[in-house]
Amino acid sequence: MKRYRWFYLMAVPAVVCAILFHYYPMIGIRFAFTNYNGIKEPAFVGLENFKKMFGTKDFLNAFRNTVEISFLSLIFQISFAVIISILLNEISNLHLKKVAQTIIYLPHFLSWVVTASIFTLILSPTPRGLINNFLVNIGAINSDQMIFFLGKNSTWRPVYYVIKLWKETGWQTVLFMATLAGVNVELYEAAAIDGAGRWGKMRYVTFPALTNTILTVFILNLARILNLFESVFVLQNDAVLQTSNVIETYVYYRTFNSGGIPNYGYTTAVGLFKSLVGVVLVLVCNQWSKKVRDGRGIV
Amino acid sequence: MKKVFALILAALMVLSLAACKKPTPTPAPQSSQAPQTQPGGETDPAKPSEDPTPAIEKPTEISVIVNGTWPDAATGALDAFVKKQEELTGIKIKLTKPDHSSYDDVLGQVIASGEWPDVIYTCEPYYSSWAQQGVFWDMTEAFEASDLYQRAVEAGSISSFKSEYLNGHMYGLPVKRGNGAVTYIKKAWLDAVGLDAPTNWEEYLAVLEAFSTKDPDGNGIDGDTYGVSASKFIQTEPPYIMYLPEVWQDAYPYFVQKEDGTWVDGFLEDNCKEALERMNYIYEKGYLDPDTLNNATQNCRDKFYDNGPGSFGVFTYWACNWAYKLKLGLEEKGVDSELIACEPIKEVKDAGGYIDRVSYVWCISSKAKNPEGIWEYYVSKILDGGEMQFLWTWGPEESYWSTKAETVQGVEYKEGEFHMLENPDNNTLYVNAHIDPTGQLVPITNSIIPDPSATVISKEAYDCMLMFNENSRGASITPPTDAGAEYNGEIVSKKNELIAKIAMGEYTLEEAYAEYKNGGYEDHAAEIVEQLNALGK
Repeated sequence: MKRYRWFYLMAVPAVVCAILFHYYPMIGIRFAFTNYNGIKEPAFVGLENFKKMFGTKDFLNAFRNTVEISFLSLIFQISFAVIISILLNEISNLHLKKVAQTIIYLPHFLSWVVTASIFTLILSPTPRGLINNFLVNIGAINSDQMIFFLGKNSTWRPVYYVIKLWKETGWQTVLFMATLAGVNVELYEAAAIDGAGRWGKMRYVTFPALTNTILTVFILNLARILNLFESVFVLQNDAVLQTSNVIETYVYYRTFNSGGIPNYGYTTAVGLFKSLVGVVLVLVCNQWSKKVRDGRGIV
Repeated sequence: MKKVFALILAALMVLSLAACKKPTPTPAPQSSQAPQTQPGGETDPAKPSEDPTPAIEKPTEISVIVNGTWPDAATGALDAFVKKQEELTGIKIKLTKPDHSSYDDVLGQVIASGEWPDVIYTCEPYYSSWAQQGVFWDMTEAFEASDLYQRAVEAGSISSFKSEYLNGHMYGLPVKRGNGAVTYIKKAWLDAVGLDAPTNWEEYLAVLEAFSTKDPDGNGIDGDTYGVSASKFIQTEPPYIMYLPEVWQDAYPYFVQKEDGTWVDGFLEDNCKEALERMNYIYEKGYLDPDTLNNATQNCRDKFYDNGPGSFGVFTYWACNWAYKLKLGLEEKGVDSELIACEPIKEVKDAGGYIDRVSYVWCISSKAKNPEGIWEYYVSKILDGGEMQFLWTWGPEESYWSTKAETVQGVEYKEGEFHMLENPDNNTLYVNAHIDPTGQLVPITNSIIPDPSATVISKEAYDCMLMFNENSRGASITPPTDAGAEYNGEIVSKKNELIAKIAMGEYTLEEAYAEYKNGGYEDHAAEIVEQLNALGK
């Protein structure tokens, strides 16, 4: 301790920041057990807010939507990221590989607001919509049968998954590409000597090498699946709330559509519930991680 | 060396944390006396007003929070605006100006933080809710004793001030009319289809049909345009139904007070169901732009300015100055810019006309150290009829306007001739600062430079203003209730969802109303109605 005292001293401001901005605000958890409108003193109500929450259809719907959308989104993202990273790995021309990787990676840097604006225009059910115009031109649909991709409950989620894949897959491929770059070349040579073709090499060398990384990425992201707001908020609209409303957008509308004075106590209770579920997920994922990663957890 | 470097880094990080601490404001001395009535007298417009009474302490510094309706900081106009105010009032202004689009959210967080600025700019529904919670100082006495009150009576605008009263008390000062939206139609499109501006629902439908099925934009393709578009089927803040008045007519899907004074859930009334059927009809027929569901107002304006596929011919948008701005937008796109600002159709006229929304108001925080002084020396001066009102209406000299001899946008002005300057952001002329002269509540009579409204306000804006003032009804304030705070968020979201689904034909009326009832929303709304009706007793 004495030997490293100067490093501990250097760490003090970071610890102070963490306490001030991460732990101190947790005092606000007490509002979950009160009726609090942000102006008058909070009135203690015990577990009333939680009872109200579990008795509210909109909340239960939002919770279900959050889990479904996040989980499926995660599965699709990892699957596509693996496929694309394997395909990229097969490109022998280094320059072309880098260009392809950059193009795939670039959408990650766009903000969700910009992404939503672009896709709202592309998917517009009017003569201005690129996709609908294409479908009309190839004769797939008539001009009076344009599809409102973002306006129907039946099509909103598939479109959301596609947009999210387009935007976020590139980020995931970075991790898998790094793993693939570390695979011993001699393994591929040995497989070739044993008569394995391209598919055989993929099956017996590439996939096993990626398994650990896939599981790690899955576990790490699973812990955060309840944190879903921005991407949904910018793409949803009044007509698709049933399938698109998630916990955080539910809290947002509950707060800002309340006609001026929201009950922060109730919305804090919802947030606290979400955090508790998140903690449980992190602990469960931590146990899985220890099994998969030779005793190394994620916390 | 490493130890010294570590120490310096640690010290820098600690200092950066310390710099985040807000300086404690020096409390101003409390004023214990009520403001005295002053006779309306002449004041020298070149100097700040003399202290009307030694009993009211003039504050030395006040904190103000306002949205994007004050001049822009990037052009330097905001600094000039604030500096001139400080010069006229002798009060230092500590300004907070959040981004316009997120102003209500940020202001809500500021109020929730408990650290309220002295002077707050806000609107419904926050005004009445926060007033009920005691956030704002009661300015009723001060207003009714002021010479502003007398001038408002003389100008015939006292009802606009009284519309801000809550249970007989005033907590916020409106400085301009709330304004509302009127329906504009492209004249060239009407001429192309051989129709006149509609005067009733049937004629309105005929116009929409012609715009949607014929070739009003003259590009040789029938049916690639729409009759009307809007930003959402229904808005998320009062008065909610501004953008499709011909569809809504006398309906109001939220809580509404009937003529006999009773409150009802307007969503359950027959006129609302009829309005929703009309909405569905024009959507299914293809007269209403399907993108209405997703449109922001910017999208709507951009599509209106275009004349190609997906554009539309009928647009309900802000009255007065926007009659001129929309014309400029069309001119910029090289499109025939003649617009007809239509009088309301008969069905809307019978309901009272277009909706004049409840105005934004300037409030004084109940935590302010010297609210009487803030009223006397700052808030009431906004409408002093003199230099301060001139500044708030026309902006700072040499930023927004000038009297120098110069050429602006190809027009030559002589020395002493008042003219507006070019906004560097969009290369159009400034039309006003915070107070829209077309929504003026009391006249400017006492400024060094006479009020230039007559020469500056465009003919389009002026004519629109006259038409709107003659054909509008004031929106009412829905008083806040405990049940409203509890359930309004869910009820508004559900109603908006059902309205969108009915409009798009996904739900029938029966299905939508069954969902409203079975989901418990009708019961929650009934609780709110009960509390609203109890307020009046």
